[in-house]
Amino acid sequence: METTKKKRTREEVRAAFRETMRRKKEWLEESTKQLELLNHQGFFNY
Amino acid sequence: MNTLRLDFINKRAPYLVKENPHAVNSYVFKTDTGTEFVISLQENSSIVPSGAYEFGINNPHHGRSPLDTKLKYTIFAIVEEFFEQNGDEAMLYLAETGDEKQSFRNRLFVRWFNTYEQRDMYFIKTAEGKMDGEMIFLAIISRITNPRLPEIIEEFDETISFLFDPIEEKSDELP
Repeated sequence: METTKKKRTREEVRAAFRETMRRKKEWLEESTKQLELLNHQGFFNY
Repeated sequence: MNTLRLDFINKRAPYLVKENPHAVNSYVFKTDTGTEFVISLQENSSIVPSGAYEFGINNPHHGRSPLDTKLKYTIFAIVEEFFEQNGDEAMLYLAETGDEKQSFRNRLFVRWFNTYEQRDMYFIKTAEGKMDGEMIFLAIISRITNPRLPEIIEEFDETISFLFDPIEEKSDELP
């Protein structure tokens, strides 16, 4: 059966992208904290 | 996403890549100059609605290493293994490119990609423009053998056509 894709509107596309950039900033902060923690745990001492 | 094989990554990567114990689908390594990197692959359907994985690179201390070929080959060992395990997926790379330095850093990944020995195996398309007044840079990467490639390109193009701020037309008329 053929499925029809729902076309996204300009505002939907832009809203989804804003959410992506918000999550990206969050990930940058989280992963920076994770690196600090790993350093504290001596994870890179090899 | 199929899990990446760390032993395969490390057969090719000049730097020792480890799994990030604090996150899923995330890898860490340290370069000869002591610069630490976190790499992440996260599902993202905002650009390609049928599905893609966003390739995130975090270098929190912004260590400069454009000439470090070991860094390039370590990152590509992860990229290669992603496509080995997920041949019908697409990889998305996106970044804000605020100032010149940021812009240079963010495009480095794509520049490396274009000089990569196995470049012919991949399709890559980039786009750059302003969104809400901020410059952003996007790239979509897929194996050319990916059966989903036409759909991925179509969806990427459609998203880009909507994404960027409209260009303000300058009027020649006097106020």
